[in-house]
Amino acid sequence: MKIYLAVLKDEVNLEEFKKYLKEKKIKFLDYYKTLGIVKLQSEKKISEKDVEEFCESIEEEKDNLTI
Amino acid sequence: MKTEKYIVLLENQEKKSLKKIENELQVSITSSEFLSKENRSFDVIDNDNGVLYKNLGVVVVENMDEDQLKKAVKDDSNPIIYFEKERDFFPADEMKIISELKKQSAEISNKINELELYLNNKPIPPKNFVEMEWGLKAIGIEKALYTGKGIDVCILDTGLEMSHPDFASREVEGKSFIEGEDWNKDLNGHGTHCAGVSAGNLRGDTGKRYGIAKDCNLKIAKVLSNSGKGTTSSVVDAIDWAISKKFRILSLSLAAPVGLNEKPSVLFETIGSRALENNCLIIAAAGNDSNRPSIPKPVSAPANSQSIMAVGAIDGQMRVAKFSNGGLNPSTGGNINVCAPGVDVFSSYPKNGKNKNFYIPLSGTSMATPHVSGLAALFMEQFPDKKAKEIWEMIETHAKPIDGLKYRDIGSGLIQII
Repeated sequence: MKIYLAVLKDEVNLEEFKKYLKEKKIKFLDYYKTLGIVKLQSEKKISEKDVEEFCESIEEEKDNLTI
Repeated sequence: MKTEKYIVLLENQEKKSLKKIENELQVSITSSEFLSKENRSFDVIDNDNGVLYKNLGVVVVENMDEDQLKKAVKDDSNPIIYFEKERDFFPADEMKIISELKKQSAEISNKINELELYLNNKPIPPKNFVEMEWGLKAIGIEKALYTGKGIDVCILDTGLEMSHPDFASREVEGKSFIEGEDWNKDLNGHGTHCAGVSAGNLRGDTGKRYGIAKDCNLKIAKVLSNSGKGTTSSVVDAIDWAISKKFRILSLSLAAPVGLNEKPSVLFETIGSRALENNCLIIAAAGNDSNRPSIPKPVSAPANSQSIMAVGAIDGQMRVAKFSNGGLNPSTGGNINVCAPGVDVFSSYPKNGKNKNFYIPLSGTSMATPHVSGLAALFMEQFPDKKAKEIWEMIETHAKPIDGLKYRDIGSGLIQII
């Protein structure tokens, strides 16, 4: 299972997006309202094309942040 | 009773005119030809008599009605064309001048004495008699009149060791975004060091000042594990928390290397912009992947985002730190904005089995970053109406270029107190 962070497009219908994610078997984890970002989880790789209707960008969570 | 004489200038001295004047002014006019040692003008002139000085065309009279004289001057048919009151003249008295000068010099002397007394007794200026770490001297902290009071500064790092004597009695708010690890225990030490530079005060051992914004409201977000590693997910979680809490400054002494010409992440670009829109400034380390004098590595993520302030490091000799990344991807925002002290920086550290002291020196752009966040807190206190974006601009505007160093490596220069 991989975690993804996506930047939502302006004025996107969140409920519609959630419905779409369900169909695609993508788990909706979190919504950061102030940032306009969502956290998703999926077994399969999610590409930008998969969510282009709702998101400006999507990237896989990275674990390479260090001191 | 004091008598007042008037000098009256005549247009002509015809008999008819003199008669008119005698009638109007009710005086008898004697010509100056008839004056002598026994008959001087002041013996003649009184309420009823005046003297005519023929050569001058002037009559001198006493105690006249001024309104009547004014009317006469205005009347074109009247031979009186001008009058004025007799003036007193005194001979120039050198001693009087000397005395006046002495008086004035005494007044100046008194003012000088007053000023001297004021200067001798004025309160001691807020001059710092406390010794301080080199980094604080380099940014001019001895001139600082502010302490970050009331400003929420959040350190996103490995947590804070709350048992450290410099923080034990301080009110600190925190949250951990690392499962199973508390924000108030810092087994790594990196977060405690960064928090100390930004928000610490004086060293308990030497008394030297090592922290910048001692009165700020210190906030801690543990986003890096005790091993010093973290994920974008936990950083996003923490930034969302911090912005929702309305913290003004987020200090990120963390970095992930990027490749040459690699575009910054849209995710962090968006986060930086949204933070600024919410009056919150994100400051991040440029990264330590370089090995100068070889060509430096590009500014790491998330500092390579245009909406996040990137901080490079310099040493005590005003040289770029050999590890400090450079602005190699400026067209995509991967430039350095400012630089700050980042080599052999002493700050707070947890005492543990390995470390016997509460303070140790560390090097990295991680150490430079909290210098900038501390300074930002001072500016925010000093200029409470300025927005985060304006504070960013002020930090860059007041930074000083360093002779011989490139914009690529230090951006606008070494940050400075105003």
